[in-house]
Amino acid sequence: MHNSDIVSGILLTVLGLITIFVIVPNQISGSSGDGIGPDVFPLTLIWATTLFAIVLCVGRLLRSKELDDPFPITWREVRFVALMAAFLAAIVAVIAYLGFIVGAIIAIAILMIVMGEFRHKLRLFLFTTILPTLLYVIFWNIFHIPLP
Amino acid sequence: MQHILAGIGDALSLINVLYVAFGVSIGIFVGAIPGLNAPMAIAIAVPLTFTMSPLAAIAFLIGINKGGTYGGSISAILLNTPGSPEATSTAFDGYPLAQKGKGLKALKMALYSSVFGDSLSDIVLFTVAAPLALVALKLGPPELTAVLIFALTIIAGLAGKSMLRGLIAAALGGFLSTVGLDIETAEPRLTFGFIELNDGIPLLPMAIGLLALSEIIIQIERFVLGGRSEGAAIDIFARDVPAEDKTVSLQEFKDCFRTIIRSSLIGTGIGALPGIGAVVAGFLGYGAAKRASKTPDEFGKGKLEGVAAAEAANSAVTGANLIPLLAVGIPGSLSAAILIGAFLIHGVDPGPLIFEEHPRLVYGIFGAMVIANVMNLFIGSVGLRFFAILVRFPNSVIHPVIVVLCIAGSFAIGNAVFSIGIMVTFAIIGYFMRKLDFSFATFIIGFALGDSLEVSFRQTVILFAEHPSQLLTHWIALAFILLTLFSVYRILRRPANR
Repeated sequence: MHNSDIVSGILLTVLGLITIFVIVPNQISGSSGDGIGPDVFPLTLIWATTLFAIVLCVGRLLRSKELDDPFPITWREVRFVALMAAFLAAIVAVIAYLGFIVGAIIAIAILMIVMGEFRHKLRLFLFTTILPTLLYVIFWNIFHIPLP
Repeated sequence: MQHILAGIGDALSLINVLYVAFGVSIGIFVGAIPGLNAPMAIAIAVPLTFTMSPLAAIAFLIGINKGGTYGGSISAILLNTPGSPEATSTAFDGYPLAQKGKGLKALKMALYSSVFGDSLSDIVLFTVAAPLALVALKLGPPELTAVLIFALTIIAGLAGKSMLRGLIAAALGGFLSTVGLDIETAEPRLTFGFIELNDGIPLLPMAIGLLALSEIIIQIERFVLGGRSEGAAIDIFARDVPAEDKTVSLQEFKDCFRTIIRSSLIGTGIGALPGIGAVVAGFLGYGAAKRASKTPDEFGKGKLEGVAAAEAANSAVTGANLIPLLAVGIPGSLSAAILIGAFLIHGVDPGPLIFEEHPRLVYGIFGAMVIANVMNLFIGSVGLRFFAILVRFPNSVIHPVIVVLCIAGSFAIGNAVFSIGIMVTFAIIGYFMRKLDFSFATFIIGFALGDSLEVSFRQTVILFAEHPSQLLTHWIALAFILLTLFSVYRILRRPANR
């Protein structure tokens, strides 16, 4: 976990400092009459996170001289997760504007094709069309939850 | 006494029994699929409980949890791929047994020992939780603050691979719990102008994203980037398998009985402590059985006792995990943390007051747990062929379906697309947490306990602001602070934390 400790430590320290000096002052205001202010508890926790992150990173740098373990995340994986995030955001947008059934059909179809299901066209067709409709009907009629 | 009888009567109603059976079936089904597990299924299933009564809802979710714990052993034995992390030690002997043509025998032994361990753990829960809750009711704000800090430290130290990472995850979870209106001034905190965040970040969409969707993203990534092909399962129903290899004889069960009892006690003890979990219990139970065996060399090569040891221990965690939740309000595991959300949705605040305010419900839940164990045994036995076939269902179909279930479930919780956004955001955060090896359990429990910790901490400050020296008269709080310091010292001395 050598590289993982260093990468996580640096990332969390940067995020923690941004939160302490930029986000919290801008996002929390007001004061309490008798007790502690609204920002004390969140600040305590984020300071703790930042200090632990610094200890994690610095402690690992001081202890290990050889960092030969593989990097925890590769650029290929970062690209993949960025693509996945964009895909999921697009699905959320489709569901918001066109409804659950359309969004679910697109999501299932794309994921099944990506995972090699284009060879089984009947299965692909059945799952993409029947499942979203079935889910919509079950949520609406049995659980009384109106999906968009 | 009338509450006990009324509760058991409620649990035995047809609709509740059916919900428990449904929950157990879903649990075994989800647990059997590699990469999916019970906490994931519970998180996705919570929205389905909106229209149920509180008892039916909790019984249904507990059914999923119990079924999921056994379900993990199915793919561990047939595919050498644990369906859930706690079944890892089950695969050590389960898969070699399956390779020898004794897969069905291994599955049946896993089921029997799982149900036995779970039942013993439930009995301990029934007898210990109420007296512990009476003690917990005597805790004031300073004591509660000290107990919560102690619990979080223990969870941070024992749930993950390093205490420092655990503490980071717990503190980060606690920090995110402060999003929303301030409890004293009602000023919005960290909401970035989203009125949907005034009530805080919803626990369940967050849990679905962290637990379910992030795992699916990783599985899809492995498939796409690694070109991984799925392993072939062993056919345990083949005609050439002798009949005696398809059943567990009474003698075989008797031979394993001491091991099952030992493992059940280990699992129950581990389960009662917050944060350690079923994975550790499974390994400890397996290790203890190996040490006690006259033929330790046979372990890992297909010894039935190995399957019994691992399954009894990891299943015994399930019931005992609810002891800290019901007695003190501290979730002992990931599943228990998600159950807090389910309790709150149904207007029930889990914690010591639950025995005073909802005694009938508590005893109904206890009754439902017994029914769930019986159902686990029944459905597990009858549905063995079905679940063995399910294990072979391609991930290229299952994973897209789960993504859509995550979306539907998240929407249902908040009845808003915003909840889906929260779920997706935490799925990406969860992806990086998995890659960088941070504990989900600690993060989610830190989040779930954040509110209570802040309330008790701020009450303590108000109570003792003028006379801080009076805190020294609260010996329970002092004792827990000392225990916290001692635990940190002990945990940091473990080799893994050096």
